[in-house]
Amino acid sequence: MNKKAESFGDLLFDNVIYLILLVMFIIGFMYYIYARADGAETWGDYYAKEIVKVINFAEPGDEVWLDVHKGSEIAVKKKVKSLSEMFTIDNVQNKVCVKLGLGRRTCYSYFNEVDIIGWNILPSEGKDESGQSTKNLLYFKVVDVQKKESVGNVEGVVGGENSGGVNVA
Amino acid sequence: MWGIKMKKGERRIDRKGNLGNMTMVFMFILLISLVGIGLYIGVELFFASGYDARYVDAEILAYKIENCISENGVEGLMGNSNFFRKCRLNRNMTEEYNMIKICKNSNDCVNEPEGEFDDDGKLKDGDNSKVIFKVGSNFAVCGFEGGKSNYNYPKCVLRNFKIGKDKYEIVAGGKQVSAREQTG
Repeated sequence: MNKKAESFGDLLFDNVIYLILLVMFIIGFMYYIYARADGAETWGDYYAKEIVKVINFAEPGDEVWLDVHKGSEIAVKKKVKSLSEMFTIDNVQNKVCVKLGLGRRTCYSYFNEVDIIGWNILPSEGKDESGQSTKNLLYFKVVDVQKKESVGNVEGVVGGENSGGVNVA
Repeated sequence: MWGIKMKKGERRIDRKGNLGNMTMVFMFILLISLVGIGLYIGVELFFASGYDARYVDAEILAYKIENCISENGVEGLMGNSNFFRKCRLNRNMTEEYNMIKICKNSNDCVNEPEGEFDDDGKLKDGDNSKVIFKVGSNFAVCGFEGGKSNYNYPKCVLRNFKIGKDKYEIVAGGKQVSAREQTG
């Protein structure tokens, strides 16, 4: 018995470095897959381009509501709490940036010579059976170019007191 | 360690050829690295193929230019300062991420030879080129058949319309890819 136990111990000891390396590799890769699986970057890219498409088509005076519910769900899951981090519209550089995960954000530029003001995430008016708003909407207004500095207001934090009832469940 | 059993007084000499076993660690690391690289490429291809909006950008740009020409006429739009102001286009963004070529009475605007433009982008006096305005260069890629499926080429849209007896053609291209910016 002792001899067997000793040989098993030896075997384990001989291969311990392989086991450590294998476990490190599996943990690292699982973390990487988990980080990519909900597609935060892919959705960020999609939202940035869709918002830019709407801005490029817009005329001064237009008011826009866009369904960003999926994006806000991902952002909350990824612990992006600040609204100003999720969607940023820069009138100076004519670009829209979307950040739905920690780390990098995706930016895309628009060529329409307009300014975007009053952008904010608002709950939709439609309610489900429990009385909760069913969608989160990104609202902004398109105006003539005013002056070349960042214009816009960020009034709330998603899920916070000033979120205006934004539904992130 | 590594299978070298030590007894009291024994010299530390590996007589079992364990050097070969130890070097296997490097083979193992190499193997894991190869598997990791393969999986990484697979995941990146699956998740990060991206959403190509350049063709739509070019469509919108061509649509806006056509409307602008219809409203303002061609003569009033010549030159960069007039064109960008009246068509409500941001000059920096358009020059960086788009291509525009406007031809008058041309049969092949994409390959039409360009004349000489002054500093403001107006066709020089006496130049009879059919290309009356352009932003960017290398429009030939818009005509390449293989370019449509090649991601690295800009995506182009051709739009024809008539004003009176004159036939106009717009070549609008989009070449913007989204930028990933590191944040805190």
